[in-house]
Parts: sequence; C-alpha cells; structure tokens
Amino acid sequence: MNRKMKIALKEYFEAPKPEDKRRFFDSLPAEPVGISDFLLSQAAYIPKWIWGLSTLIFVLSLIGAVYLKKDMLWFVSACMPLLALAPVTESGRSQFWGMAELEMSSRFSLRSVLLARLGILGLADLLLFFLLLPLTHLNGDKPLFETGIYMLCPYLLTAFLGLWASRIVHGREGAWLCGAIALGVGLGDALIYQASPEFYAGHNFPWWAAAFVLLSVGAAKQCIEILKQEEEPVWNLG
Amino acid sequence: MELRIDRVSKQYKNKLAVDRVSLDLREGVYGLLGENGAGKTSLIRMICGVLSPSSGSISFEGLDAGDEEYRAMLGYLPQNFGYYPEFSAQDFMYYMAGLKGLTKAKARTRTGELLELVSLGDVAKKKVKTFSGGMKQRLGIAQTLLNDPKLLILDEPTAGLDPKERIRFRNLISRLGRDRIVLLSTHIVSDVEHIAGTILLMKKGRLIHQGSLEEVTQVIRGKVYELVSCGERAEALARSYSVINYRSEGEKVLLRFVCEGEPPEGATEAPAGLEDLYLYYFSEAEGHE
Repeated sequence: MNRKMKIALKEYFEAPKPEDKRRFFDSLPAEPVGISDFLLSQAAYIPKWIWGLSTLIFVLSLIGAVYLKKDMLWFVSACMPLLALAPVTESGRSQFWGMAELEMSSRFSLRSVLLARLGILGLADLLLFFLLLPLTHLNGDKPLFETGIYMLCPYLLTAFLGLWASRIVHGREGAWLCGAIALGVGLGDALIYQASPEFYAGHNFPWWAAAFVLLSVGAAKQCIEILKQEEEPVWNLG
Repeated sequence: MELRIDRVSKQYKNKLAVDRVSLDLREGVYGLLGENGAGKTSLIRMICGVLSPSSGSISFEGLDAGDEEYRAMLGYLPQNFGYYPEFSAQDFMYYMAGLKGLTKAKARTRTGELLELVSLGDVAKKKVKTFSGGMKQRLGIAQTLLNDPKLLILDEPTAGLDPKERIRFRNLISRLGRDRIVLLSTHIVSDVEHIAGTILLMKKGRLIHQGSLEEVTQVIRGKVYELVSCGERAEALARSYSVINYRSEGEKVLLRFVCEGEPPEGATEAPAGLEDLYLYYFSEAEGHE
C-alpha cells in the first residue's frame, strides 16, 4: 500500500477502539523464561560490595605484584578468605532479610536462586583466581601448581567453616561469625607465612594437597547441606 | 480448578501442628480462622510448598505442591516478609517477577499496573525501607498478583492496613475470588464474614468446621443472648456463661453471652454472627468442638 493511500485512509476512516485488548494479550502464550535467562538475571541482584571487594583484591594484588616483588603469596592467600566471604554470606542472605518464604514459593524457588548466585560468585572467584595465580607465581619462588594450592586452601577453609557456621547460626550473628572466620583465616595465614615460611616449603606440600582435597569435599558438602536446608525436597507422601 | 488437600498432617517433634486436614477447594474466597497456634500458618505453608507435610498430599490441577508448574500458578503473601535493603518498590516487583518467570516486558507492564492498583504508583522508585507498615503490606499484596495466579494464598493480608484500605482490599480480594481460588487466613473476623464464601475453622491443628456463614453459625444459633443488667448481676452471670461481649452503658452493663440451656431472666435471643462463633470456640471457656 503506497504512502498516499495510507494517509488518505487515516483521514477518512477512524479505526474503532480496541475491545478486550487486555484479554487478547493475556490469551497469547507467554514467552517462556529459560533457566539461563534466570541465571543471568540473578547476577544483577548480587550486592555491589561483593564486586567491589573482588575488584579491590585484584587491584591490591596488581599493586603488590609491582611493589612486593618476591613476597606476593602471603598477601594473596591472606586475601582469598575475603573472596570466600562473598558466597558464604550470599548463602544466608534470603533468610537474613526475610525473603526466603517469598522465594521458596516462587516458580524459580529459593534453591534455584541460591544455585544461581553461588554459581555466579563461584565462577567470578574462579576467574579472579586464574588472574591472580600467574601474578603470584611470577612474583614468588614456588611452582605454579603449588602456588595455586597455597592460595586455594585458605579460600576453601573459609568456605567450609563459613557455610557450616551459617547453617548453625542464623541472622546478624551468623553474618558476623562468617566475617570473623574470614578475617581469622586470612590473618592466621599471613601470620603463619611470616612467622614460619618453611610451613610453605616443598616438603610440606603433600599435607597441603591433602588439605586441599579434604576442604574441597567439605565445602562442597556444606553447599549441598545449605541447599537441602533452604528448601525441603520435593515431597508429597500420599 | 481444584485444590485437593488430602489427609495432610504436620508434626514438629512431639507437637502435631496440623492433624489430618482434608479439603477440596474450588473457585471462590475461603476464610481460614483460628487462634494463634491453631495450625493455620503451617497449613498455608504446606499449600505453598514452603513446608513439606509429615503425611498426606496437596495437589492443584493434578500438580503436586512441590512442582515448579504448581508454584507458577501460585500467589503467596506470607504473614511476615522482608525485602533486600537496596530495593525500591519497583525493584522488589521486578525481582519477584523474575522469580515468577515473567519476561522483562511483562514484568514492567504488570509492575506499573499493580503498583497503581495498590496506590503505590507515585512511590514506585522509593526505597521499601522508607515505607510504613501499611505500604509494605500493599506492596506484598501487589507482588502476589504479578503472575495472575490461579491460586492465591494470603496470610493476614489486611494486617497493618487502615480501615479504608482494609475495605478496599477486601473488595479487591472478593473480585479476585470470582475466577480463582483465594485462601485468606486472618484474625480479623469481619474480613472473613464479609468476603469469604466458605469459612474454615481450625482448632488445635484440626479443621473443626467448614461451610458458608449460615452453615457454620448454625452451631451457635439460638444460643446467643443479650442482657442489660446492673454491674453485680452482670459479674455473676459473666462467671456462669461464655461471655462474648461485656459493655458498660452508664450504670448498667450490656452482656452478650452464649447459653446452652435455659437463659437467665430478662435475656433476649440475639442473631448469631461469626464473631460470636469465633469467641465461643476460642474464648477462655474452651471445650466446644
């Protein structure tokens, strides 16, 4: 239809007002929201302080890489518990702010919310770890693999203890306890490194490797327990 | 459309909170009444899939209460709910819309409409933490309607609302009940009396009555009396009967009470209402089941 015809039609013919427009739109099948869209949407609801803290640790590590030269590992591994604090506090956030019941009764329930947020934070921490690892390795005297294990152990210890604590102690006290655990592990790690550097020597590495495996299993188990606790499993006994 | 609750029980250690409750609910407004600790909230949480029953089953349109599809048809207002501190009213609605599986475009449209409906349109961008109790409650009600639920469960929806707002919401709930199941739990007996087509009365975890206002008040019909008397006699009568209302009117006292047998001299029979029934069952003088 040419443009002139359209204008003429508009001029001579007044279109009737739509009837039941709302009902018509409501009758259209809703565009399904997939799990991937939901996962992405949850990234926006992760508190900004968490992203700020990760950025701060990365920037401080970059500065450390330039100025601390051969003494990077103690600093980075002491910062790792602070990174672990993010997923730990996120696991109890819904309960803390009284949103859990609303989230549990929604289509994408609390379990999905938690999985999404813990997954996003875990990936972000993993990315940061892979950025920090070469920096730490290049500014240290340990092999790459050992450096990675020394960095991950304080992270996993905080995750394990923090998730366990947040399951036992709820609310504000739980959040403070998790913060205290992260600080305690970080400070303890830095102090041990300064006081007894031989603790990080190669002959002790098998113990570190064993601790890494145990803590990985422990933290994963705590994650599963948190998910079980936050939402009772699909049920109906009848 | 049918919500089927089949012999549902919930036990917390040695306390039986809900005891073999069975119900079939179809379109309409249902009012759930009962004193604190009667098991109302436990039952509601089980219907919403938040709690798992110790035994029995709950299904809606053939879907179990644990299914994602079941929750997609559900709108729930818990008795107490919070919000993330950084949320504005609009953020809260968008967040809930996301959890309910609405697309961004639909979430925007519904949020606008519903915030207007609950008179929060002009404060949509304000932080929820600055809201009064009534405003938070209105926001809670708005989020239940985001997904146009077929099953709407409201736990104390009018708590914290002023009388004008309460009546507005009562009317809204009444309209919503035309084409969906609305289950309303409250202590405000007049709310239930005005809008619920079916009244469910719970006591000690059990469903002791269900039916229309006419049907449930049948139990107490012909047993409610009023008497104007001097203070001393009123005190004596108050010790002998289940008193529903005691009101001083100058020197005299107006006594409204339940009397199972022969009424005292001067007493006149009064029409029984839901409040009378509620107080009859849940007053200090218990044992009426």
